[in-house]
Amino acid sequence: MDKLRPDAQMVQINAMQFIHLPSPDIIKSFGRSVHHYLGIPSWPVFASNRDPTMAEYFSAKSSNNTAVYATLYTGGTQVTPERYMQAIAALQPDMYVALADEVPGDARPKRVGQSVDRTIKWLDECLQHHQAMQQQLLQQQQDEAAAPLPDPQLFAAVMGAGSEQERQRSAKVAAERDVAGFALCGFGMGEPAAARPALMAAALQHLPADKPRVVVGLATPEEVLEAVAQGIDLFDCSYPTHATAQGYALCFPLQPQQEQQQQQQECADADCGADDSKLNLWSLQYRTDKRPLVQGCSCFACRNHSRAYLHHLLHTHEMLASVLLELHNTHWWLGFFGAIQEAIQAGQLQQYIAWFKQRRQGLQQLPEGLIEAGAGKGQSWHKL
Amino acid sequence: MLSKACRRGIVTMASAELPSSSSPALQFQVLAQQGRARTATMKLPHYTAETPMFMPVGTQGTVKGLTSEQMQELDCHVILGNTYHLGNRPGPELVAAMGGLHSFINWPRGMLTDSGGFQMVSLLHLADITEEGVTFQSPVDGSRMLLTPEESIGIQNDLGADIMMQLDDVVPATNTDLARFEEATHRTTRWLDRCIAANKRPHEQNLFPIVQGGFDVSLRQLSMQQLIARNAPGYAIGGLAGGETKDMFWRVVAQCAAGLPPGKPRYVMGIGYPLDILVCSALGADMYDSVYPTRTARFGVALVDTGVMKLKNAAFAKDMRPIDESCSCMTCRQYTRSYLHHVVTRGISSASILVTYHNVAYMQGLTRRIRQAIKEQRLPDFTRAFLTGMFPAGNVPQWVVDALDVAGISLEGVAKLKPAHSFYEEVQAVQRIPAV
Repeated sequence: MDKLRPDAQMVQINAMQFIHLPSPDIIKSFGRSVHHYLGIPSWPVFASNRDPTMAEYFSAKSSNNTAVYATLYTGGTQVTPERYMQAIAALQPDMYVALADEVPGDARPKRVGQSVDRTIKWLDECLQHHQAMQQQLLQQQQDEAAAPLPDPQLFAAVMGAGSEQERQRSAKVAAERDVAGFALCGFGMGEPAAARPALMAAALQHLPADKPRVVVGLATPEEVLEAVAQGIDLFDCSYPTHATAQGYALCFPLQPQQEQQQQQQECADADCGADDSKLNLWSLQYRTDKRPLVQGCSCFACRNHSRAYLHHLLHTHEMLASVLLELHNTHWWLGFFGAIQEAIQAGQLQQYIAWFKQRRQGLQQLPEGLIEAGAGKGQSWHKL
Repeated sequence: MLSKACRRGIVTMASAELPSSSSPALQFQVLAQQGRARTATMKLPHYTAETPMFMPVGTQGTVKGLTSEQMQELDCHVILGNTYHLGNRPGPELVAAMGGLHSFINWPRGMLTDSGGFQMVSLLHLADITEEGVTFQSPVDGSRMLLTPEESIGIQNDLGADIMMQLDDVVPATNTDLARFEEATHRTTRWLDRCIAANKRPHEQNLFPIVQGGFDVSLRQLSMQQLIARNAPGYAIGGLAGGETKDMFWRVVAQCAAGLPPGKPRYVMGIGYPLDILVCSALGADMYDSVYPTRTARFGVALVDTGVMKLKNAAFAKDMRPIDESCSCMTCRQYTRSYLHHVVTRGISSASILVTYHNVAYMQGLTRRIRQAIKEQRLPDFTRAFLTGMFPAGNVPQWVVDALDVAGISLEGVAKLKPAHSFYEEVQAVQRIPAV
């Protein structure tokens, strides 16, 4: 983890993992916050209400008015706001999302309305527990007078799925509550990408500008850029995780200057789903390639190993392949956000976005021969 | 590295008294001895290792999930690469084109490759041994293939490890046909000669013979005689692949360690249980390899002085202690048994890396403690304390009591059983030493 500094600033966890095994009681008996339990004491922790890298299955068993049906490692279970907040109290994360009733992007209007209603109700319950938790932590602080007071910040969940109206309603109510930030939920859940900007805008127009907004579950860099332009502040790292799982090394240029350098490098093999934004290390073309994953990348994997070695590790199904790829991909992804921050600070965000999008579209204009060979066929099962 | 006491000890002893040897690609120098045990430095082309030494196995060019940097942090001196696996993928020509195995995987320290023969016999259904070599069905396309001594060395030359193993005629320990063991003994020597002749890089890569002879004292003696005559830089004690009883096992190690030249390293192949390593080191062996510590980690089993800790056991769900309070490895400094229990029970493969890290740290720590004990002339006390920890009720197995008696270490007060062997009658060539 330390190898990802200074770009990495916070670690995201799924609060649901701590409902049962390890349970809140177990964490409490440990006597310290989740940071210490997970062996990451120097990292701020953000607890989400779901795992953005996993597609949740909406089974026949679903949530009801009092609880979410969550699929845990130990099986499915009902999670009420009280149970959820017990876990949060034990974890003491720096930030967390209140319990939410998630629905897929194509949920029917009635179900969407229901999810907004339930989430509002649960937000209020979570807020009550939150206040009680703060009292308790204050008490502890006075008793022990030891380390700095943990002060978990509650983010309200804004729902609404594919309905602009419901998005507005959910956002308005959430904005009235005394919360530290907002989590725009239900994106990356099967809704059409084209509809997303309007849905986000519908919610954002009612949210205060001085509080952070997080969105989890977006897939591509382009989607992230759109969300940034609209005013989202925090994103997850599911994209590099998915890339790693499929043996890809991210290499999309982060700056226009980099692009020129890359064009001088070999073209990637389009037949295997690669393009100039990512390399498919499974491809035989890397068998004897002594170069690092990405020339000039300062990550641990690129400084110490070659494409040929990564290729070999993948083909022999060795764990080290995903260790190294995840390091590189996460490093690259975080570098992307660094570039975005620079662009905003220089007042150049729109130009950056325009350049980035045009670059990707440019890839679609391939020479005739390659189109026949099946370029563009390279659609991996998970959108990358 | 050496304590003041040791340095003094060595200065007062004439260094000519301490065994050593010098070969083109290996210099071995014993630093201290106690009983049959010794601690030494072994200078290899890529690294100077210290013995007794445990070598983790990086089968396919990686030690299961650990980075090269972590392996160095863990104080590993030499790691193993499997010729059979690497010979398949990525193949010797590719590794050679990459500058050798060291360069390909970016491991700067010592490397040892086995011959490929053992995996063939154990992994492949239709492996068959003839004078020519080991014939087998290719795992890739089922075609008939042959691994000869020449080819094994050819592949190993391409891989470029500091130490290569000869292709030997491996007889399963469960075989009861003495004639087969005899055939294997002689054939191994003939194959050694072919390996030596085929070695294209004798000044950069060491070639170790492997002593055979099954469980027959005179066959072992004969094998040693023949192999020693080839004046190799070091020797391995083979044929202890599993299937034999511990009783048979220690006797072979005792006989061979005593019979091999004192100035050269002695490598017992396939040994990884901490208890076995301690006993073999006491008997005079120097090098060990095994997948055990790294493999058992992937089942959630952590190694500790008292034995093993099965982290998947529900008892650990609420145990907030580290695996081992006396261990200073990253896993023990940062993680609790409770956390490890929860992540290993979910089958998250990267969770096993944390246990792997600890287990490698444990093995390196164990061999470090053994080396230090020999340097400080307190191996018997160390051994007794270790066994007391592992067998608090005194039920040390008979084989351990017997083996350590031959090693010159008494377990009086530690073990309920008394030595009950007749080793010195069975192996007249080995001189008795008193047990202290």
